[in-house]
Amino acid sequence: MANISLTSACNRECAYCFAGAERRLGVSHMSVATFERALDFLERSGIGEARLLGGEPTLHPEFPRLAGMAIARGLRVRVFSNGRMPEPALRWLESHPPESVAVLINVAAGDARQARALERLGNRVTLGLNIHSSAFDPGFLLDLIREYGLSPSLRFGLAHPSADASNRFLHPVHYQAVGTRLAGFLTAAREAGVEPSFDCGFVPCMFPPGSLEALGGAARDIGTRCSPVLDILPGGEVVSCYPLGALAREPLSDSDTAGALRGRFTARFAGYRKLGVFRECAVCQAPCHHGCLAASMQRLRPAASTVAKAEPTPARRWVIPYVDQPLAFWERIESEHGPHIREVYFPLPTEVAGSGRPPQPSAQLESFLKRSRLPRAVLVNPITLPQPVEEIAPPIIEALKRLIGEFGISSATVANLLLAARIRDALPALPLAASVLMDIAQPNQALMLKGICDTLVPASRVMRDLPALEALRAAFPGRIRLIVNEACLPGCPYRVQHFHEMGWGLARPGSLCEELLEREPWMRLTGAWVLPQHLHWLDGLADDWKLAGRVTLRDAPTYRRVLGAYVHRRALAPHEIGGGPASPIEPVEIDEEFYARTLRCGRRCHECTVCREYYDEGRSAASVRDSKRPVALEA
Amino acid sequence: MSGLRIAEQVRWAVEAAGVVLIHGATGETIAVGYPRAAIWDFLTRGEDCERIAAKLCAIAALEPAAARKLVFETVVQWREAGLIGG
Amino acid sequence: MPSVVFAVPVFDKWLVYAPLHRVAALVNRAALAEFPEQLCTALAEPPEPEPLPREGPVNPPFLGLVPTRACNLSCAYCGFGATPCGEQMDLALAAAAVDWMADYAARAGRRTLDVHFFGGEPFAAPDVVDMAVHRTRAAAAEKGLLPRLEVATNGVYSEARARFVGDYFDTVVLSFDGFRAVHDRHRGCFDQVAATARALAASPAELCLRICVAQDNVEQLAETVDWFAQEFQPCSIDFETLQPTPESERAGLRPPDPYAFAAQFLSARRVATEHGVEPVYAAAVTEQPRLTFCPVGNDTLIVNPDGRVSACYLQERDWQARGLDLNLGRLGSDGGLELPLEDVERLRRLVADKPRCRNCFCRWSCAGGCQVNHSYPGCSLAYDDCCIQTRLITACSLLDGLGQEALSGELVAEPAQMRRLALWPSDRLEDLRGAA
Repeated sequence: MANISLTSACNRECAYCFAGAERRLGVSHMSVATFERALDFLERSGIGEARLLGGEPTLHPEFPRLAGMAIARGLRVRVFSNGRMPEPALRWLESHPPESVAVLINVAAGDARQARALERLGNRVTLGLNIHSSAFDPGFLLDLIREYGLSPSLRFGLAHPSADASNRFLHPVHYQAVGTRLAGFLTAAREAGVEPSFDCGFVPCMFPPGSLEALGGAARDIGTRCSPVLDILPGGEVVSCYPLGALAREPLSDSDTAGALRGRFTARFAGYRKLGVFRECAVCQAPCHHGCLAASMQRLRPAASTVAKAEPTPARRWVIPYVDQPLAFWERIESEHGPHIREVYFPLPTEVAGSGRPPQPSAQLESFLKRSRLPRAVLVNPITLPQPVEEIAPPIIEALKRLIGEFGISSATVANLLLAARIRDALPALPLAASVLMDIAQPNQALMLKGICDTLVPASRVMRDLPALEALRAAFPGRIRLIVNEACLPGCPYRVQHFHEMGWGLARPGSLCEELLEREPWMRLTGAWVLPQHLHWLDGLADDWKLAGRVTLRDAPTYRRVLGAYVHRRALAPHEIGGGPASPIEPVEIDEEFYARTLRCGRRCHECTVCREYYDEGRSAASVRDSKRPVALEA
Repeated sequence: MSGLRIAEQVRWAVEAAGVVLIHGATGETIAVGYPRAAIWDFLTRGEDCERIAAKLCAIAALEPAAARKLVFETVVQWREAGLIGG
Repeated sequence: MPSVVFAVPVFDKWLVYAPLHRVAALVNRAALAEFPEQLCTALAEPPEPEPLPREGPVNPPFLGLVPTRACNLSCAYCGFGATPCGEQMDLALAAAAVDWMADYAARAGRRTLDVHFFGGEPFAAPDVVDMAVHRTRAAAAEKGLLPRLEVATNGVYSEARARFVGDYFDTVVLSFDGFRAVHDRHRGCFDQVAATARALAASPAELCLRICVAQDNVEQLAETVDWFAQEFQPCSIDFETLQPTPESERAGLRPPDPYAFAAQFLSARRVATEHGVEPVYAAAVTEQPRLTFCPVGNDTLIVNPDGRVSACYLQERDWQARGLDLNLGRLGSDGGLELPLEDVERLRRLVADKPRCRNCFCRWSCAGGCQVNHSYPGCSLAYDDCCIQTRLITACSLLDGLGQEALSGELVAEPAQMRRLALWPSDRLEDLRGAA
C-alpha cells in the first residue's frame, strides 16, 4: 500500500498530528499532474487502492476531480478524513457506492462537526481512533456506529512521534495501560459485532496475557517491527512514513515502484531497526527490537526532544480576569503560566460607589488576595461616574489605599480621566491604565493621558484597525494593552448603555445588540477579537494582552483552556474564546487571509461583502446539525 | 571536563546490556557492552579520561593501571572509527 | 468460618470483608446476622493461608543502596537533617553490594537484578550512583539478568543529569508536592523539579510523582493530580501524608486532617484514573494479603554509606528512638556480607505482632504500615490518623469495587459517618455478632 497526501490544509488542530512539520510550511495542495504521477506509481506497483490523506484531503479544491481520476483508473478509493468535509467532497463521496469508496473518519468524542459526514456516508465509514493518551475512552465509538449505521469496524492507531517530537504522542511507558483499556473495550466491541483492526506500532506485550488470542484475526495486525508505509507528499516527494518524514525523503520518480522505494527506505533506516520501543521488554524480559521505529528512535541521544531548546524568558504580558475559584485554581494557573501573567484584575469592591459593576461572586476573593502570589490589579471603570468626581474620588482613593496596603495591589485601570488624575495626585506611585471605556482611539487623545496614565487600553472600535493602532503606538509613549476577546462590534451604538446597565446587576444587560445581530449575523465576524493563532498580526503593537471573561470564563476548565491557548498561541475558533455577547456563537473557521484582510479594510461594510460572504460560506461548510453533543476542542 | 566530543553524526541509545551506537551517515551499528558502555556514557557527559578511569576501577573491578589502559585504548579506537573527536 | 471475616458500618448497611477469601459484600443488618447464600458459598471456599513471617534463607526483593545521607535541599518537613556535604559510600563498597546482589539473584534463579537508590538525595553522591548503575548493568549482562534500577530523588539537578536518570533508570520516584506555591513552601526549586519531571516524562523511565500531603495542600489534591497528569503524564502518583518532625513544626506544616485526606484522596484518585494514571496510597492496596508492606520484615537489605546493612532506609536514630534495632549486618569492601540469620529472623518476627491491627479489617492490606513511624512496639492501641485515613480509603475502595461509588461518595461527605466507621472498635464479625 501507499498513501497519497493531497494537501497539507486541515481544519482541525489535533495535538498528536505528526504532519505538523509539513503544515507549518504553509498550505500546499498536490497538483493534478503530481496526482497523475502518483496514480501511475500505484499502478506500476500493483496497488489497487488509492489511499487519500492530508491534512484533511477533502479540503483539496479539486478533491472530487482527483478522486474521480482514481476511480476512472479502476482503483478503489479510501479516504482518511477528520469528517469535517466541505459539501462538494461530501456529495462526491456519497454518490459512489461503498464497493468503490471507503472513508475512514478519525473521530473525536463530541465533535459535532463530524456528524454531517457520518450521517450522509453511513456504511462507507469506518471509524478510526488515534490514541495519544492512556486516558482515552473508546466507549463512544460503538454508540456512533449504531447511531449512524456505520461500517461495523474500527481502526485503532497509536499517536507516534514526529521526528522532532513536537506533537503529542503516546509514550511507550503507557502502552500497557492502553493495551489493558483497549482489551477491555474490544471484548464489548466483538460482542456488538464490531471488528477491530490496528494501525502500525501496536506490540503484543502491551496487551494483557490471553487477550490477543481473543482478538482472533485482528491480532495479525499486531506485529513487531513496522515497515515503510510510503507517504507521497503534496509536493511529490515520498517519505517512509510521516513520523520519519523529516529524516529521509525522495522525489517520486516515473520508474520507481513501491517495492523499490520500500527497499531503499528500509536500507536507509537499517541501522536503527534493532532499536525497540523499550530498552528491554517487561513482558518478554528480553532486549526489545519491536514497535514503531519513530517511537524507538525517541530513545536516541542526542535527539531533538532532549536537546535543550533555549526558550526565551517569557515576558509577563497577560492580564487576566479574576473568577471566583478556589485558591487551588489560582495556584495551578501560577504553576502553568506564572511567568506569563502580568496581573489578575478584579473590580473595586462594590461597597465603594463607582465600581461600575454589580456585586460579583467573591466567596474566594479574600483567600486569593491573601494567599495567591499572582500580581493583582483593580478595575475602577464605571462608564459614567454616578457622582461628581470631587465627591466620588476620596472614597475610591481610600479604598485603593486599603487594597494596596492589605493586598499589595499593583495597578488600577480607570475609565474616567478626571478620576484617574485625582488618583494619580493622591497615589503617584500606583501605575494606572486607561480603560477601554475611556474610548481612546486617536493620537490626539493619547496626548490627553500624558502624566496620568501609564498604560492605554485602546477603544474597542480600533482593536482590529491596524492603521489606527499604529498611530496610537506612535503617539502614546506608555504601554499599550489590547483586549483579545471583548468582541464588541466596532462603533457599537449600544455600548455606552450596555456598560451603564452592567452596573445594575449581574444578569444585565444581556445583549442590547441582539436584534441587530439577528438581522445581520455576519457582523459577529467584525468584532473586537483576535484568535490566539492570529496574535502575531498584532505583535509589536501591543505590550500587554488582556483577557476578558469574568462571566464567560468563570468555568475553571474553560478558563484554563482559553488562557493556555492564548499564552501558547494554540488555535481556537471564535466561539471558544469566551467573548462577549456579540462574538460568533457558531463554529466557523477563520483563516489567516480573511483575518488579515479585515485588519486594514477601513470598515466600509456598507459597500463591502467580504464578511457577509465569508460568514455564509462558513455556515454551509460547518456542521449545523442540531446535536446534543457539545463541540469539543481537540486536546 | 573532557576535550573529547561525540561526532556529530553519531546517535546512541541505552540498551539492557550496554549501549548501541548508530552512525547517522553510514547507518553502521555498533553494540558496545560493558565495561566500555560506561566509558561511552561518561564521555557523552564530558568527563575526562582520568576520572573515567577512576570510576572504571570500581565498575569493572580493574586495577588503576588496567583501567587507564582500557580507557585510552577505547578512546583511540573510537576516534579512529570516527565516533569521537576533539 | 475458617478465616476472619470483618464488617464495618456504612450508614445503615455493613461492608463485609474477608481478605483471605478475597470476598467483599455490602449487606443489611439482617443479613449480617445470617449471611445470604451467595456470600456463604463464597466464604465456604478455602481461604488463602494467613500471611506468615518469612522463613528460610534471606530473600531480599531488591538491593537498597544509600549512596549518601547528604542532600542539596532543606525541605521544610525533612527530619534527616541532611546537609550538602555528608559521608559518601566508598565506590568499592557500592560495587561489592551490587556484586553480592547479582550473585544472589543468579543463584536464586531470578530474571532481574533489582537495585533501588535512596538518600538523602542519591545524586548528592553522583560518582557513587554512576558507578553503581554501570556496575549493576555490567553484572546483569554478565549473569544473563535484566537490570532493574529505581531511584527516589528530588530532581534538583542539571538537564544532563536528568537525561542520565531517564535513560538508565527503569523507575524514578520524583518528589513533587504540587503547585509552585506549595512545592516551594515545602521543598523549593519548583522550576527545576518541573523541568526534571518533563525530561523524565520524555525518557524511557517510568515516572512516579510522590506527593507529600500536609494541611496546606490536602484540599488541592484533585486539582494537583489533574495538572500532574496533563503536564507530566506520569505512570503513577504516590500519596504520602507528612510525618511530623521538629522541622515541620517550625515551618508550620502539619499532617492533614485524616478525614479530609481520605475524602480528597478519593477525589484525586478518580481524576488520576480518568487520566490513565495509577494513584497509589500504599497502605490501601488490597490486591494481595500481606503481613507487611514495610521493607522491615520483607528481607529488604539497605546498604548504608558506612557499610552497615539495615532493613529500613530511615536514619538509625529514628528507629533507635522507638527502641528498635533494624540493623542486619555489615558489608565489607571485599564483598563479605555479615548477615546473621538470627537478626533476619528477629525482624521477620517483629512485623508479625501488631496488637493494634488485630481487630482491623485492614490488617492484611495496610498491615500496620511503617514499622518505625506507625506500628512500632509499644505504640498506642488506639487508631491514629494513619489508621483513620487508611480505614476510610480502604472501605471506599472496597465499596467502589462493589459498584457502590455513589455510596462511598456519600460516606466521605458525612463526617459523622466517617468517624463512625474509622473508629469502630472491632471489625471482627464474631465480636459484632457477639455484641448483638
